[in-house]
Amino acid sequence: MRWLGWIALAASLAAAAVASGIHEQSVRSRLLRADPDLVASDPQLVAYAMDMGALTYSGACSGCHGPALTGDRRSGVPDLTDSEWLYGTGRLSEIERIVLYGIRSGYSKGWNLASMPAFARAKPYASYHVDPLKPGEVDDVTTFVLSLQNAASPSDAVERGKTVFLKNGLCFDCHGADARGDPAIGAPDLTDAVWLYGNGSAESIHAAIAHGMAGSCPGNIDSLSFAEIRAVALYVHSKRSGGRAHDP
Amino acid sequence: MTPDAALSSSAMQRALDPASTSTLRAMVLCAVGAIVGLSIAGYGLFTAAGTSTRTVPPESVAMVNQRPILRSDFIAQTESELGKTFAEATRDERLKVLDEMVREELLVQRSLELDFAETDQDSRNALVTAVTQQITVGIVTSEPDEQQLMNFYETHKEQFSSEGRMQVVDLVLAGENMEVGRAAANALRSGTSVEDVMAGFGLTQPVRHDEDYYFAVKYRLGDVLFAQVEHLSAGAVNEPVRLGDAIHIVQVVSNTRPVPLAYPIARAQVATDFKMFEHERSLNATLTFLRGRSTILIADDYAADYKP
Repeated sequence: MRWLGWIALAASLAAAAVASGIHEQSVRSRLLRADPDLVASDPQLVAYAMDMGALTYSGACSGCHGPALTGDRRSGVPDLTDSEWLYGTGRLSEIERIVLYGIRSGYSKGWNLASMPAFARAKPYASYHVDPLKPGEVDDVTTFVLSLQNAASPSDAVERGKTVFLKNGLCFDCHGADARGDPAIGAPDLTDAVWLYGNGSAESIHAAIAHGMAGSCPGNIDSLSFAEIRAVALYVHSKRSGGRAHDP
Repeated sequence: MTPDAALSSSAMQRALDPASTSTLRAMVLCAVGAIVGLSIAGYGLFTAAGTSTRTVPPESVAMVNQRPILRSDFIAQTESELGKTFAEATRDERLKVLDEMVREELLVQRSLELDFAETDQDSRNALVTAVTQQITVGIVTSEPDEQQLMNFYETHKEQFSSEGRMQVVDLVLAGENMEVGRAAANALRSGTSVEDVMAGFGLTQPVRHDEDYYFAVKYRLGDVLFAQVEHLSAGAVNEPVRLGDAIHIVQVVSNTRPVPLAYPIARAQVATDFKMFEHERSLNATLTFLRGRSTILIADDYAADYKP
């Protein structure tokens, strides 16, 4: 009757596996059902999700954002470890939304409200009519944006650039009259020292105004599970500047 | 011995009999196998994508005819409608948004039943846009590697240069007297001021322009005139050209020609143009594939001239 012992052992192992599976399923369900902005305050969910998040990040995100999440300014890939959020304010639900649907990704639910026009081209913007700027105006706006960084003393070029910024350049429409940007449409703050493209030099600012830009991020709704999507959002959320996994 | 005791003793003997034990083991193992098999089948059946179920998956907030309404969409919709975070929304507010989303899903499903893709132009436009984006999603959102970009830069070097800038004075002489036009051009070449030439030869300058990019100057002057002045240096004057009912004399005030950009400086533009190039290629390849697997019949009166 020794075989009965083996069967009992196998049944015990199977029961343990099933119990573990049910528990795992239960935590997974709780992770998915929780209000995303409150997930980070639940240590059990954080513990469950962080490993999965790191693994998912490594496979789906690190190719562009880099293994240290610091991005690549040559390609306009944002640093995820600083305190600056281009889209939204860094809430977990906002990060999750980007992981799900991306940015200019082809998914209509992704972020795709505006792009930086190329003001030195005959047709600066594809979606609606924007007049090109003159070379002198591009130079002046460059000087004005630089002055926001360096608190330079007012000059004619700065004043002219400010006028273009607030009038025919339509820059204010996205970046705001105070140039502090708008996270609702992904318009960066031009007054801080964080640069998405380049290094904040006159050349890189001039190039951005002249050539425009429109970075993108793929949506993952068809390639990752919902648990992986929430887990990677939680992982990224925990890596932001001053952020901890348990912060809301 | 009672009949029951005899029966029990008999069963015990059968159980201890090696042959009987083998039969029992076989039965038990068979039963265990059946239970395991049924469990796996049941799990697979009730958790497979697309399986009709009466439960709502954890990532969804509702199911409408087996179509999920995702929690993420629900949260985004709630925040968008209410202008506050999801956590700040009351339960009543959330339920109101949820019902709106259920209604939307019901109407969308009805529209599919009515085949609006066939009859409604707005739906068709939206579908074309969505599918076009979907076809090229991988290209738009992926980051090409450095070698790909450098190869593209090398093979399309002519398109990566700084923008040419130019300021010109476009003087107009009414009528067709080309001799006067040439004399005015010579006067400009010899250093006579624009104002004096205008006064002396009866020229006008309809509009004064600051320095502008080449494309803007070309737009104003027209292709013929721009081709004449594009390569002139500052101070140079073109040969007068008759356009319409007037003669144009153009003096170049400044001309900064386009300069080829080194790869590191042009990289962002190279990446953008590379993606656009790949976007077009991918779209064309998909359309070729779709045409290849489709039966397209063109009416006789157009068949001869139709070329995809």
